Amino acid sequence: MDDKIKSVKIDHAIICSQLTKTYGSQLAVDHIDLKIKYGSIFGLLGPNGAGKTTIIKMLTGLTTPSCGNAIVAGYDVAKDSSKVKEIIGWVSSEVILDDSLTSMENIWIQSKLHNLGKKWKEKAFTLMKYFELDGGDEKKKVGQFSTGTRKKLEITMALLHEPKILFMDEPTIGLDANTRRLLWNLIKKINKQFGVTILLTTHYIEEADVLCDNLAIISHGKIIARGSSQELKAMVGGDLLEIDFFKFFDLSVIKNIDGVIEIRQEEDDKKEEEEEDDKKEKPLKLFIKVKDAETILPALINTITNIQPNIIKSIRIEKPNLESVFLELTGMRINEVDENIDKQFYTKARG
Amino acid sequence: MAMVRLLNQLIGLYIREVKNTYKNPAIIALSVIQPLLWIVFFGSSFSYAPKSFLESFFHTDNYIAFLLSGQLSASMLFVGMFSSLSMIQDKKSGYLRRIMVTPTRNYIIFLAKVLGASTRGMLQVPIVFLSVMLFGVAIPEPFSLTAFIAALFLLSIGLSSIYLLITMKSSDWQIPTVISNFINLPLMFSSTALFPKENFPHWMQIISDMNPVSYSSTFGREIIISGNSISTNWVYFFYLFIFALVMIIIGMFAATKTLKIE
Ligand SMILES: Nc1ncnc2c1ncn2[C@@H]1O[C@H](COP(=O)(O)OP(=O)(O)O)[C@@H](O)[C@H]1O
Ligand SMILES: [Mg+2]
Repeated sequence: MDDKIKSVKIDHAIICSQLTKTYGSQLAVDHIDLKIKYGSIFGLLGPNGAGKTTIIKMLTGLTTPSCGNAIVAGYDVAKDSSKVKEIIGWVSSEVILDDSLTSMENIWIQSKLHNLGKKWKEKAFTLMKYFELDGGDEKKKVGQFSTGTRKKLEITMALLHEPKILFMDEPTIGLDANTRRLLWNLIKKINKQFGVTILLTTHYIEEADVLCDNLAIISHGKIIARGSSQELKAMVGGDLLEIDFFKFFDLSVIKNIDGVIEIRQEEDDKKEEEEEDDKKEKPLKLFIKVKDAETILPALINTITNIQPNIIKSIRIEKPNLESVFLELTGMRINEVDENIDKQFYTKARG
Repeated sequence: MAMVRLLNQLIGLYIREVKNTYKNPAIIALSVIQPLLWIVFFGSSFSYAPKSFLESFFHTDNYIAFLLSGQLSASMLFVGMFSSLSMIQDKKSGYLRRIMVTPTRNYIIFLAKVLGASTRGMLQVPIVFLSVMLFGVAIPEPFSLTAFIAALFLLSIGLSSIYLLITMKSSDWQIPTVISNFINLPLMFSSTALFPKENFPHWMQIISDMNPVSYSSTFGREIIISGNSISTNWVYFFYLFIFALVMIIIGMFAATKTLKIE
């Protein structure tokens, strides 16, 4: 084997090349290249339906790639999936446990599946103590626990066999803000203390920002940007002003203001069909990229109100963040994509 | 070493099946009450039939003694159906996925389901036997009784395997319920579980002669009516053994090749 390839294999927990999954004619994951270093927390950030879960399914050997390949902990997921499964742990997005069994019974089953032998109980107690899980409540069924506790139990089970890589699919979905923060700390702790490489998926901007050393932003099965959170924010290259106007006006006046980098009008599907006159009366939304919002704003407002007073409905300043990266790249906000999917779903359900 | 691992995984999943059963009051109630209802209502339907009729038709003057073996055999059909429902439940809840991200082989998952279902099916046996004592049915001597229970176990292994085959790929709740009507009812009525086959039309006798439910019914009936296995025809037992073996092997292959989460 080529020495270069070998060292990449040793340094990286996960290597995907041209990884692809098609369902029928749909490309769920579209030729993805990815390298994830051992010991890091890597995040896949993207809206619903972007293909995050499908990537995890391929990397955990649950479904075979349609094309391309992936090396996880040194093994090819398509050829050596059972070797891969010995080394990885997985935490589901919805909590999956045997609700009518106790926590120790749930843990015992997991330990059997990983062939852990007699040490399982000791390991379980150590982890439970570490996560401040109440192992003393021996008779209580898992179904009666709070979601946060159940999640912790699931993580305990996933770490029982000391995996090198932990996959977490939307780890904090459906949790309240407090539990979410708690879990973030826990995930960081696991990564530091046990040296476990973590690949997590999320559609929460803040989660990706707070938690991940490195990120890939994914949309429609493609990676559209990657890097650390800092690097991604730097890509935006300026602040973003989102201004709502009561009605349309001539944009050319603001184009010439010093410091304005780019102006984009919100996409409107029906724009083509409308008459010019109609358009003038319609409300308008602009995304204006500027060097520095605070210095430019007075001049901007001045210019606009000079031409046409009382036209500004609202102004929103957005400092570079992952949301604006996504917005910049796709022209949509992450939760807008989600809403659209909901809408599609409802119209489908009705029609 | 590899064997130990397989065995541990099988034990883990099998115990899970068993524990989930006895922690689920609904399943227990169903498997206890359903056979009792059968025995009480169906078994009583010949209460006032003349003794001579029973003797000539059923070869015993106690219809409940005749029915006992048939009822227990026929109920294995429903045990089989529940095995596929529990597979679907594990698919829907995501638990199957939890198992499949561990290095557990698919055929182990299948085996655990088959054994779990068959064990669940055995739950009712002691209860039914105890209750038919009230109707004047004598319990056979231990060796013969064990042989009959083993025959039931083999039958339920074979039937559960068939039912699990249809849920390898799919996770649709409708499928087992629909298919169960196409499998269970014909198999039940074309077997010797409820009536002797002498009065069946020719085509139904042919089905009955290939029907594993018949084999278990007749095998157990000879034991229950005579109270021992001196004159028992063991061919029935071996047929059931082969049936269980073939089905379980087919099932293990199918699981390895086709078991899927969606
Ligand atoms: N088993 C499947 N069969 C068909 N389409 C699927 C299947 N799983 C996922 N998809 C489709 O693939 C796309 C990506 O889904 P998924 O990976 O679940 O996205 P995410 O986890 O990012 O929300 C979606 O459009 C989804 O409808
Ligand atoms: Mg998902």
